[in-house]
Amino acid sequence: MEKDKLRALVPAAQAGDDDAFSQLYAGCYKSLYKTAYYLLGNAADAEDTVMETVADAYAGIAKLRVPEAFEGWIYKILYNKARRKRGVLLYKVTVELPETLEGPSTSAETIGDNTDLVRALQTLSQQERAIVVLSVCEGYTSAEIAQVLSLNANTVRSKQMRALAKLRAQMEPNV
Amino acid sequence: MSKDDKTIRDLERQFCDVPVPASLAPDTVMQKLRQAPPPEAKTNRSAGRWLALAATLVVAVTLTYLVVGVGFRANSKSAESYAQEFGVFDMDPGEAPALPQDDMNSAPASGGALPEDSAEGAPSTADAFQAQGKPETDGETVAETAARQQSGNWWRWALGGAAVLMLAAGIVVLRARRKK
Repeated sequence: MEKDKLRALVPAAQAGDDDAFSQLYAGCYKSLYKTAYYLLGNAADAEDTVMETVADAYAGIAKLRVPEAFEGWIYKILYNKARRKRGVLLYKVTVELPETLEGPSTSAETIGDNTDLVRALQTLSQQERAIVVLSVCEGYTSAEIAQVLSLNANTVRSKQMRALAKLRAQMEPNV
Repeated sequence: MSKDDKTIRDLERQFCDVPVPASLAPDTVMQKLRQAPPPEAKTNRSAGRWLALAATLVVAVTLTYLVVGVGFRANSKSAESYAQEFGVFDMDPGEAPALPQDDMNSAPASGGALPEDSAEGAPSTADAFQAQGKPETDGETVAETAARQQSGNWWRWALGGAAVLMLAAGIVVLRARRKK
């Protein structure tokens, strides 16, 4: 679904129209899941994160002041949820598996043949990973990512360059 | 083409689509959302935040009071002891403090020896009061006053202890919530 059509549904969803919210969700849930998956590195946590994000969005959409900002808003919720979940995951891995600490992807149920990419992403910081996923995967501009991450657009660009350099170094044989 | 552009192209190829679980299908999710009461969690969380804010305020106010209050009390205590030493508490209102007669009369005109009571090893004023069994004020001796002031501090320790316990409980609760 096109972005403009999605945005047109926001006022109805804010007025309490469940069908409008359902269509909004249908238009973005695949992207949300994909982003969550690459942010967290495993399918189960990505599923939980998307579910929690949608529940929060459903409960709070009436408070959204600018309907055009819906996508940035829901991605911001997703990013914050993923960040918290990632913190808990790191804590669990640190406590339970001190010798095999490689980030959450050690127990990840990875999909497809991009295991190396998923592992390489886990070596980036939260923000760097979000920047790479949102820019490369979802095609967001640095200004849009800046809104989601509450950063300056220039900071996003410089962090993106650093993240890409790290990924190049990590995946040298593959990239 | 810059290095970054090349990396982005390569990454775009590798970022394959991820199969979305059936539990996230729009119909299923909307059904869950309609069944679940959403405001509950929000209320709990905001209540928790208010509680944390209140606890922080209590801790801050208590610690400030303990530090400033104890310091203030120490200052006022020394002022009180000065007053006792100079006999201000024994005065009637309007009565000027009289100079000791013996000092005036027995002072040597010139080059005389110092009075005996200012020599080394002379008893302090408080000791002199104690020796005479003279009540300090309101029928209390100096020792009784000191004991009363010491025992009057118990609630400060209790309040401080409660504040520290509250802080510790807050930290434990926050850690438990993060682990969930």
